[in-house]
Amino acid sequence: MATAMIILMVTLLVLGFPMMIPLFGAAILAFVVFNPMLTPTIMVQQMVSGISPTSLIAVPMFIFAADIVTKGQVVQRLLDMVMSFVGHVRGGLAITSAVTCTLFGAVSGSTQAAVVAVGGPLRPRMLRAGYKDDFVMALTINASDIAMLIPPSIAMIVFGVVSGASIGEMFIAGLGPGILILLLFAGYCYIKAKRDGIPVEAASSWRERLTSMRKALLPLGFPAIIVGGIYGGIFTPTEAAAVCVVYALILEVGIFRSVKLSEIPSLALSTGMITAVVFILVAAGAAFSWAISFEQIPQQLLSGIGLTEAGRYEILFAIAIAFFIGCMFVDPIVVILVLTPIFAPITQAAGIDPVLVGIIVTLQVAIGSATPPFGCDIFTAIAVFRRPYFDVIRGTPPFILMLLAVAVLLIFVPEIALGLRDLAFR
Amino acid sequence: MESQLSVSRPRSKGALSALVRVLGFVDTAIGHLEAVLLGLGILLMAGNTVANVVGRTVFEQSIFFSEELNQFLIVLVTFVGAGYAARHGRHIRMSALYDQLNHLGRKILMVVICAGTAAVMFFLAYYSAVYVIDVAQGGEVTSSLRLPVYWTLLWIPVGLTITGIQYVLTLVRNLISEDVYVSFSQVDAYEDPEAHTGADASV
Amino acid sequence: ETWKFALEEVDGSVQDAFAEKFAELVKEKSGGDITVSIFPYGQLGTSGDLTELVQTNAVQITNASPGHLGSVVEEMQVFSIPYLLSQNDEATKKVLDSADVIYDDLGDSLRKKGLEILTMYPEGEMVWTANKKITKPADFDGFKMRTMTSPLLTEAYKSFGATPTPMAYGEVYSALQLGTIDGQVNPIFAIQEMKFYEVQSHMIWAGQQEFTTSVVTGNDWYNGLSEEKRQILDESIEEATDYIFPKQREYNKERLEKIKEAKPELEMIRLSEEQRDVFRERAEQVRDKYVEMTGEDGKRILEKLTKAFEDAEAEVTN
Ligand code: NA
Ligand code: NA
Repeated sequence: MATAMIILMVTLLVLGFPMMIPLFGAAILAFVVFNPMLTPTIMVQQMVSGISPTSLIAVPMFIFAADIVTKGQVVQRLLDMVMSFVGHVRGGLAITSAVTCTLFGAVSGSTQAAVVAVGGPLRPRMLRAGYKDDFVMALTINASDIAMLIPPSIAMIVFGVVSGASIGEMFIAGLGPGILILLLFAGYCYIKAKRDGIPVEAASSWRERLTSMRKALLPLGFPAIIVGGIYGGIFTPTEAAAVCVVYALILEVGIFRSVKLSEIPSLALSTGMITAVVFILVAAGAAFSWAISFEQIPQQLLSGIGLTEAGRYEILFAIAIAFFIGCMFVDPIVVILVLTPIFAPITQAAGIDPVLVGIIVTLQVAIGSATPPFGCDIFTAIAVFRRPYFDVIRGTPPFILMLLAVAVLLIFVPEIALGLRDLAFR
Repeated sequence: MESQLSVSRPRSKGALSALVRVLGFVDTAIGHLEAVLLGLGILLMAGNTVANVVGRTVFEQSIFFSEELNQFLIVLVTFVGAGYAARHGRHIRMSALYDQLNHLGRKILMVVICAGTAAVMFFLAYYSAVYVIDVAQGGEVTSSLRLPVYWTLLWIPVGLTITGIQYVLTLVRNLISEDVYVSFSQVDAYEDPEAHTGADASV
Repeated sequence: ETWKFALEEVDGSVQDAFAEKFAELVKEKSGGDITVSIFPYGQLGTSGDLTELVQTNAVQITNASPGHLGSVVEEMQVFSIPYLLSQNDEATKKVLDSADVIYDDLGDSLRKKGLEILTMYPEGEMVWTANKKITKPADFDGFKMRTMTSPLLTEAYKSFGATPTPMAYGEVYSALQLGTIDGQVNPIFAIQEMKFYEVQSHMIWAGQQEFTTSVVTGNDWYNGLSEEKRQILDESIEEATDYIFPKQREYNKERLEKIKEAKPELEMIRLSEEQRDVFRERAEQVRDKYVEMTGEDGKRILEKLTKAFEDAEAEVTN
């Protein structure tokens, strides 16, 4: 049955059906052919469940805010300031993008939100600077995923709940690998910029920098609001997204007067459509994973491997591979919910630190959401950038390789994650 | 936006043309309604969420239905938006194989895709209608507003049906027209990234 | 034959312990003919999904909190009223196990919705966690307390003097950490599982509520079982219920020890009877609200249930 589902999915995918059809199709196959006693209304129930988490609201809200500021002056002012500082550095703009994606995803807690909010405005600017589009899109998608490792992280919270690992400790432990990945990405940006001969601009004078900083003062309110509001306990990360919409409106419509009030409805409409395109896939993914869970397919696949007698490294590799493959096809949160209980007794028996397992899982899940064929960040990028599927993923392999390298490193040198944790808690 | 797209519709002859025109009119009307619902949905989502923050921090009074309203709006936006996205040929797909084909190959594949997608949409629309009726008969209510849960769910069969119809229309358009269409009114083409470096995120 | 048993909670929870015991009993009584396969939380959907899944017989048995059943049969919300259940374990068991008001009155209403309630059991006392000491309503002044979204719970915490703040379960930890909310209320196992204690300074026992769950099945399926199988089901449920009462105590005690071990500086406060009386008195208005929401039927249920607890207490203490 698992085989039939996979064959159908791949066929529909390759033929070029809308991405929701392979997911729905495989689920329908499971319901109609393999479990005729189940009524397909369950699929509908699960579709609704899939799009029910309140935190999803952050996605349309950041898309909306990004739409407004892209149309107005905020982005231009911020970029002018950034360029006045890093314009003369090789790969400076790309590195800035990577850092911004990471920070943005870190506070917002949503990698998809980071893709739209940072990638949307920065991509045109990077294209103009001479970067290749596939590199730009891959950088955006993958840098956003670092956010999962930096608190607050929904993946870690879910893992903590299911496994019993300390959420607070995981939050600290994620920082090490998160920063390591960012450094690797920055290095790659530098090499890429050098190899592609991206021209550097002449260094700005301090007077120019000061002017650009003054002009960027109000736009700098965005990070201030997000960081201050969330860490000051005024609103949740989800709510921060909506607050950004209001701030964007105040700046662009009220103060800069660069967007007319009459343009807002059409921006909201475009936001609504992009949201729908992504969320219908979240819904389809939920229906698909229900069918998989109901049949206990992951359990069956894993019981064949005989992990109970394996050593520490074998177990950690098995976890990394299982989560990586799972996330290639299914929503990361669902993968955590389904796979964690299966591995829990094994890691417990082997005496592996649950925080380490949590970080490895979170990293895999982050990689998975940017790895083809299915990944929410890829879908978001396709919807927002309006580029064909293959263009969007073409540049991802080097990033995925770097991420996987960190995963392997983490298995052999757990101190990358646990060092900081031990410093803080032990 | 609707009207701009309508202009590009090629004219056919005779009875077929009359039919197409009537269909086109109904279709445009539904399109407008979808656009209004979608835009309004997003604006309400923002307003509702911010109002809750203000209520909680300034007035020490959370809006209890805030979460429920947002969930209603997400369902609305997702399913009404699915139809709207189908209308504009914006559903995500992997077009690698398709892009390699010649005109006829693309046309045949597009017809197959439209037929298959429409079939899946109608299948799901049917079962979501059954589900809505089940829930309506069960009398389940939401936890804070105590409103019938099926009010939210109603958008699912509506949205999926409209999406299915859009794919049928696209199929028809591909059969009667020379070009390959990804939606009833949209010829198959991606945007040129170099020519379009402004507001990429807008429709 | 396989019966699918879906839980609202994760592997290793009280509900899981019940389901495991139940599975073992069913296997034994059926001579291995019937297997019960257990699906912990999330795998087959959220709590809200699970009741629907038994109604359509995709899943045969599930846990359902009275709060969730309250959206199917409004009167079920009676279990959200503070200071309703007895403080006496034995009396509580007597009522939850067999009271007519649950299995006949409420049971009939549920049957009309296609559900058969098999048993109810408590999973532990609902404890407050807070970033300050709370012993009286005045301490709750301006205090943002996260509750589940239910009008009765909202009313309850308003009556206690707090600012009830609904929030998704998954967001609670970071909201507590960052101070978006000041406290929350949950049974001990949840506080331990979700690590809320990591980001709070106080745990407060006010005795206002037990966290209860019910075990339900679809009534078509239940009625369609052969005499023999139904007997196996009923007996196993009964024995598993007997098993879970003491088990649940022990389990919460273990979890509390774990919390103490992980964070020795956490302050644990048990409100005195006098202190509890102040909150108990205020909770009267929650009863009024319940009657206002559910009308005559609800009033009757509330009265019957209150009486059932009184009778059970009298019986137990004699
Ligand atoms: Na994060
Ligand atoms: Na993926």
